[in-house]
Parts: sequence; C-alpha cells; structure tokens
Amino acid sequence: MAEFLQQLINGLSIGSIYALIAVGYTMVYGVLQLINFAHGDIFMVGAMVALVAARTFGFIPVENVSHPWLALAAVTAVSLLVCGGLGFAVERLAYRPLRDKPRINSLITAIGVSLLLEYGGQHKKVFGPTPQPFPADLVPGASTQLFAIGGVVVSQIDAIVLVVTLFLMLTLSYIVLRTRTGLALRAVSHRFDTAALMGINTDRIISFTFVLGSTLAAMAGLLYAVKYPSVNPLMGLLPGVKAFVAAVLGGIGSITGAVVGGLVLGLVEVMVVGYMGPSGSQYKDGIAFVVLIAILLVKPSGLFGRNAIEKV
Amino acid sequence: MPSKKSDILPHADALPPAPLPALPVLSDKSGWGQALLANWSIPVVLLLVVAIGYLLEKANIKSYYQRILILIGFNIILAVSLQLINGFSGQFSLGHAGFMAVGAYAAAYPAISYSARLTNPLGVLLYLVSVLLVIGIAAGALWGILFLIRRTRLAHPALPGILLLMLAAWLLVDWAATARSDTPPWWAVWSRGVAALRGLFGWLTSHGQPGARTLSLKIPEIIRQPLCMLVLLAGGGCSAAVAGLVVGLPTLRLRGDYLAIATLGLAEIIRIAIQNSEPLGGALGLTGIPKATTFAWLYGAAFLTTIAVWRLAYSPRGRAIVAVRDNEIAAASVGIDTTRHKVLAFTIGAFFAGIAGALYALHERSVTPSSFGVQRSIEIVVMVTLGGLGSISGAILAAVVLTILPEALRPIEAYRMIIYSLLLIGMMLVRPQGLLGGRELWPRRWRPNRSPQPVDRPRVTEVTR
Repeated sequence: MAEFLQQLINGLSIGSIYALIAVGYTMVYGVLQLINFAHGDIFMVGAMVALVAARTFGFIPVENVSHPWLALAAVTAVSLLVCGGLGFAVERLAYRPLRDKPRINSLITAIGVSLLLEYGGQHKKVFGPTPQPFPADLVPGASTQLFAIGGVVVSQIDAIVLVVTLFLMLTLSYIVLRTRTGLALRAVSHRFDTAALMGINTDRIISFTFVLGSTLAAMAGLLYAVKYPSVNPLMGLLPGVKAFVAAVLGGIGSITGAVVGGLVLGLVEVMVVGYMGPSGSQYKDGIAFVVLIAILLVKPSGLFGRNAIEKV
Repeated sequence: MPSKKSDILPHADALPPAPLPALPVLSDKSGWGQALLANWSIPVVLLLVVAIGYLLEKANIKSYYQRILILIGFNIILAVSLQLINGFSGQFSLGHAGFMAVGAYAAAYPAISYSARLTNPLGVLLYLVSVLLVIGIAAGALWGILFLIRRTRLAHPALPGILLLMLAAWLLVDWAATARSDTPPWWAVWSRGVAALRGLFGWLTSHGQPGARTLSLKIPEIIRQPLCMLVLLAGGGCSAAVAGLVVGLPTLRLRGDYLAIATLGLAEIIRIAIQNSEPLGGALGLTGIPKATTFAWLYGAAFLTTIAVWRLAYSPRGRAIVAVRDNEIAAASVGIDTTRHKVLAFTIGAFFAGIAGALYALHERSVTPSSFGVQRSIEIVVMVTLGGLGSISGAILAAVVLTILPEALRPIEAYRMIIYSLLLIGMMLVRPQGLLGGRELWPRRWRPNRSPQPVDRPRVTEVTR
C-alpha cells in the first residue's frame, strides 16, 4: 500500500508537468485547430533560458546566492518572459500568415519551427548538443524530504511541483472563467467567425492564447529541469509528445481535459514502470503512444471532448 | 462502314498515309499479350536503368559522390511512395520511417541468419513464408475475437466492452504477476498462445532450412544471388505492406492532425517494439548484413516504384483515391469504397517503403532502430511537401534537391540544419503548394489521354490489315 501511495505521488508529480504542457496544446488547438508541434520545444527553451539566466546572474555556484527564493523568482521571471515572447513571435511570424490556408501548411510550418528550435539550440554558440546539468539546488532544499508518512516519502520538489501546478491551474481557471479576455478566448475557441462578428479582436486573443500557453510550458520546463536536473536541446521531444497524448486523452480543446489527461497519463506511466518489473521500464516511452492509439480508436474526442458532427 | 477514308475526311487523300508500325497485329490475341506489348517501353527503360547502374558501379566514382547518388536513390523511392499516401490519398502520414524499418528488418534478419552470402534464396523464401503463416494465424485469431465481439454485441451493446475490460484487467494482473515471479501462472493462456506461435515458427524454419539449402544449390550459381535479392526485397516489401495494413485500418476515421499524430505514434510503437526485441538485436540492431545493393538494384527499384505509383495514381483506381481525398462523403455517395481505397494507398505506399528499407539494410550492412525515427519520417514528409502534394515528378525533384542541399551546405555544417528548417518555414510561407504545385513535369502526351487532343502514338488495336 505504501508503495502504491508512493507511486501515486510520483505519478501526480510528473503528471502535473505533463498537464502544464498539455494545457498549452489544448488551448492553441481550441482557438486555431492547429497542433503546435513546437510547443514541446518551448518547454525546452524554458528550461534552457532558466539555466542560462542562472549562469548570467551568477547563481550557479549556489552557495554564493544570498537570497535563494529571490534568485529563483528572478530566474523564473526571465524564463517565463522569454518563452511568452517566443510564443508570441512564433505565432506572429509563422502561423498568422497561414491562417486562411489549408491546415497542412500550418502543420508543416509547426514542424519547421520545432526543428528550428531544436537545431538552433544544438548550435554551439547557443547551447550545444551535450546535456548540461541544472542546479537543482536553486530551489532551496529541492532534494530534501519534506515529510514522510508511513513508508511514503514526499520530497520537497514533488510538493513544489504539485503546489505550483495547483496555483497555476487556479490562476488559469480564474483567467479563463472570470475575466473578459477569458470569455473572449472561450468565444473564439467555440466559433471563430462569430466571435469576430461580435467585436472580439481575434488576432489579439490568439496571441494571448499563445503567450499563456508558452508561459505555462516554460514553468513546466523549469520544474522538469529541477526534478530531472539535466538540460539538453532535445529534451522537449518526448515530454512534448506525451503532453500531446495527454491533451488528446482529455479531449483536445478542453482545458479540464488537458489537466485530467496529464495527471492520468503520468499515473499510468509511473504505475506501469513500477508494477511491470524490468519489461515495464523498457516500454515506458511506448506507453504514451499505446494510450494514444487506444484513445483514438475507442473515443477520439477524448474524455471531456465534444463530439463534432460532420456536416455535409 | 465508309468505303473510303475520303468519305469521312474530305482531305484524307492529301494526308500522308498513316505510318504502319512494324509490329504484328495483336487485336485478336489475348489481352495480356496486348498489354505487354503496349507497355514495351517499361522493360526497355528498366534494362537501360539497370545497365547504366551497372556501368556507374564499375566507373569507380569518388565514394563521396557515390554516397550522394545512393542517398538520392533511397529518397526517391521513399518520397514517391509517401506521395501516394500523403499527396494522392490525402492522408497526412508521419510514420513512413516505421514501414521502412519493418522492411529493413524483414530483409536483414533472413539475410544474416539464413543466407550469409545471399546464396540461399529458397531458405529466405521459406523463412518469409513461415512468417506469413504465423502472421496469418495471429490475424485469424484476431478476426475470430472481433467476430465474437460482434456476436456478443448482438446480445447486449455494452457486453463486449465489459468483457474486454475484464480481459484487459486479467492480462495486466497476469503480466504484473509474471514480472514478479519466475514461474508463469497456470492461467496465462495468452502467453501460451504466443509461445505456441513462436514454437510453430521455429519448427517450420528449422525443419525446412536444410532442405531449402540443398535445393538452393541446385539453382544455377549466376542467378542465385539476384534471386535471393529479389526474394529479400519482395519479403521486405510485403512485411511493410502488412504493417501498412495494420496502420491504415484503425486510422480510417481519423483526419488531418489526428491522423498525423496517430501515424507518428504507430511508427514509434513499431520502432520501440523492434528496440525491445532481443532476436532483432535490441537497441544495437543487426550487423553483418551482406552488402548487395548496387546502383543497378537501387535505381531499378526507384524506376519501378515511380512507374507503379504513376500507373496507380493516373488510373481509374487512382482517380477514386483522389476523389476520396477531395471529398470523402461525396465519393462515398457516388459508390466509391472509401475504406478500400484509403487502405490501398497505405498498403502500396508502405510496400515501396519496405523495399527502400530492405535496400537500405543491404547497403548499410547494419540496421539500428534509431535510424528509423521521427526525424527520417519528417525528412521524407518535407520532400513530398516541397515537391508539391500530388505530383510524382515533384517528389522526385524534391528528393534530389533535398539530398544534395544538406551536402552542399556541409561547409557551414553548424548552420546546416538551421538553414534547413528556415527553408522549410520559408517555403510554407512563400509557396505552400510546393515547387511544382501538384502538376507533373513530363510532357503531356505521355499522360493518359484526358484532354480531347488525339494521341499521336499509334495504338496497336487501330492497325488495319
């Protein structure tokens, strides 16, 4: 039982990170019906910028830092700002000109942007292809154990991940449900042209969606880098695809679905690895794809998705 | 019947007499003979391509240029086969590398295990037939399960779902229990089934191989190796075609983005499955494959791929495929079987990708699962899109350009892939319809006669005695 609870905590922890990225995928799909392949790479940029910022500010020998929480806040702020700006720029330069063209063009452009970010990161002037360690101690006491009940150990980083995700989700739901911009966002994702007719500046809302999604992805990148302290330009591939699977699992277009899907996928992954012995860990990365195929075969609209009726 | 030509055409006497080809009259012979003779250009050009390939091989070009030519050959086959799936059938597939992987391993394994120097064609054939038999039995079992599901659904709609969930729970618990102890539980029916299939396969190959080997020695030596190559290529292609079937059937009702991700997922599942299977070498792959791909084989295969896809795409069946792409509901209402045509595109595209994979394995002498990842699929998709969706000559052109381009950019190695991706984005922004915009390069009169213009090649049936 204790092991099950331990796996539960682990699963929720990694699931929260997937949920943060999945929300970005799902919001962009909701407004634009575009799968933003570059989203996983924005996650990677978030982690990379955090590392570079920590280096530039001189935080890396962590003992030199006098106010650790302030340093962490500074690094986080830089990372979020840069990724938000990046998301805005990508939308403006790469996706907006293709909005009225066939969807396949945007899909290929998204692949192009993804490749650009990956190979740009691998260039030695930017980052270089080798993984570099991330100072997990930037988060004070990250690897220490927060508390232990019975045999269940909850480390500080898991707690931080869960708390931060909860906070961000609450903020997001406040923005989406209680503000006018959120209302406009929901309107645009429901029916694009009617929203434009109602006087909503759709361009601005779409930019806002991208910035919001990218910010969440950056936060996810930072948390992932603290949890698994290594940063490399290709680290966004696998979590990106898994987060996409989570978004599809929950119903792409639905924010609640993305969160639930992320948590479920994290739990499934950890449970399979934990309980299936050596063969399970080999198939860890394949589980997400199997879940994807299963959900696309059984219920393509996902858990919370709306079933679109095809009109002739 | 008009008595003289001048009755129908007033100026007929002034026209030069129609050139009589020096061919025998076949209008009253069988349709096969007619078809063969009407298509005589295909074997002739094929022989020409093979001859040029043979000469190129002997010409001893610098190995750097040789490598580029080989890569162009692979990319042509892959791009043209993907054009059938992505362009003509409109199913955006990001999983082409998976089919290539299946073909590569399906050719590599028998080449290593049963025919070390490609001198045992019958052994390879026996192996592939055994694989086919085992897959057939497994597919039959699957069909049986689906049949039972359909029957139980007649009893109550929710019944199959409940039974499947129970079965899945049972299998998961069984797998977990197996992972924790050494003795398999007595109710592990499914693992027994898999073990039985494995046993059957082992029995078939081990009992037949010695006989196949001695029989192979009876085949004249000069055709032993080409025959073995042919069997390997066909086997690779057919395995990949089966994979295409497996990928194409479940993804039928998916569209656009979903289909892209689903094919990506399935290709990754194939790759991970290969990576985790010990008989196929695991993550290190298979090594020691004899090197048998020459320019002749490669470009001959590329030529045949182009001809096959061309003939399919610009035929009534191809028109049906394009109709399904353009408007599936309208096509279905006209009576076109959408399922059959979509699956056909996938299967045939996968077949040629498998041939490319087999040639790749026989050239590189070793195959690893990592060389068939998402990156390769995306490279081929970029080629197809750059050339223009729906254009075979565009795919070939783009394959050539996009093979030479990274090599031409090698001096600025560090910026090479960045320029590549910027090129991709720029191309989508500036000319999204691709280089040829869906049109073909070849002169019009070689295409099937769609316009009212007369064909100026004399058709055999019109020759009068």
